[in-house]
Amino acid sequence: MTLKASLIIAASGLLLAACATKPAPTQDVTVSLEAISCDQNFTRSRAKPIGLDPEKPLTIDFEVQRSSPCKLDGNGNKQLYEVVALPRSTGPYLVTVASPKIGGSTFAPTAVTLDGAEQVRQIYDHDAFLNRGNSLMAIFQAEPEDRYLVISSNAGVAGDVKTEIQTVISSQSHYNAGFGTTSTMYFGREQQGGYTLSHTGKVSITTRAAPDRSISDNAGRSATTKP
Amino acid sequence: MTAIKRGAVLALALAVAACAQQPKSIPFVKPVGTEIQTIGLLVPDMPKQASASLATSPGKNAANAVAGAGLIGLAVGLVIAGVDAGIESNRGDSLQELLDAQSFDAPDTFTTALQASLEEKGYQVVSVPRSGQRQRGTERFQPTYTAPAGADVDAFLDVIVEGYGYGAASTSSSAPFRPVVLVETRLVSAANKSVLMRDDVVYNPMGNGGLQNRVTIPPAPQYSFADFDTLESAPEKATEGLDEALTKTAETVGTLLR
Repeated sequence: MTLKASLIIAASGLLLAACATKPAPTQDVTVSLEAISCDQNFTRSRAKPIGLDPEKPLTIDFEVQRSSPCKLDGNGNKQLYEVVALPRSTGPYLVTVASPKIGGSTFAPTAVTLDGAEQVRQIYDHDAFLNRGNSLMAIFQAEPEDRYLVISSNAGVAGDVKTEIQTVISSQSHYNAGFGTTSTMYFGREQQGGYTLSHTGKVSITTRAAPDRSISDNAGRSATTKP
Repeated sequence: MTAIKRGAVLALALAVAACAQQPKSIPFVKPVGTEIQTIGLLVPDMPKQASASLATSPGKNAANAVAGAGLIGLAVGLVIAGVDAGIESNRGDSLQELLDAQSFDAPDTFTTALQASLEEKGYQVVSVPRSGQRQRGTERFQPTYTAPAGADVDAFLDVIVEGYGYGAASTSSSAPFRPVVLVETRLVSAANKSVLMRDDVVYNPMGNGGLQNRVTIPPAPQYSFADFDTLESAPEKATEGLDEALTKTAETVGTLLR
């Protein structure tokens, strides 16, 4: 085989690999924890560390699974949980907890921060998780005293089914060779989806530097587009 | 601002702005050493007229397509765009007439729901008049805040309702008209003027992009109208749908201050 032929085959392979569609992500749906035994004691032995970079957001992804530790909530309901060891910092920073909607299910989250002595500092129940894009999301400001973030499933809402109507806008661009211009056509359609809140599912945690809270830097969207 | 421009602003805000670079949301933080007990709620800046917009339409696409065909095409495109905007403006006028006939006051509905939501969270609410009228689409939140004489305010909640009304993804019957609301919010400390919270809330977003930086509320399925004629033929239901959309949006703004 000539070098030229080899290069063509290699290039074709790379192109094909780039075009190959990834399999759609999936996650387990768990609406009942009846069959799972729960430990009375909270453990942070498998806490996942996350850093803090003042220049850019840092994200860790994990999945709360049936094999995750289980504890009882205040009402005696079972909940699966995972623990994140928060970064050591000298000042406040932002934490985003996102529970993406994947394949018709979403992890039903609650979030609690603990100090070094495992005392509760901040609580974000399920109501604090709002729709943002394709995720349920809570954003909060953490302080240096917040040392651990406990992400737990919420027995109160696990199993609930939510339906959602979404408007999807797609576009197609056409090149007009005669005039050397490109025009874009937009197409809108509605799609109905939904998801089941689950004891298990994927979670993303992101840390980023505390935002500038000065009034001039938060003047509204119009300000950013003003000529 | 003309009705045509108003409709265009809502359509732009709902469909296109979602793709633009958005400010990051700033979560609510109670200032150290002080309690936020009384919120000065600025009278929400809100269009007096509802809009009825299509996120996409054959007219808009035709205008785009011919505008790319040289100067003559551009002229034709502008005419088509003008006709399309005129149709949209007429729909907005019809919607507003429908709401007026139902004695529906959208600003009052939104403000009342927002105040109730804040009070439910334990805040006392003082109404603060807005100083001057901003030019919609070009201006922003109020630059300074002053409490009414005699009122002790801990923070000011500034809410801009960019648009509200009904919207459809396209002219297709499978893309019905549903209520839409888009608001920008900012809570500012009275003590040091720092921003305690900044976020956007959209009821029934008409687009795919940039939504992670704003809170989105999916529309209630029951308020669906196959086309604008169907909407006009059910004024009570149409009014009820917008009432629910404005109320849900206001409640969600309250949730941001939990």
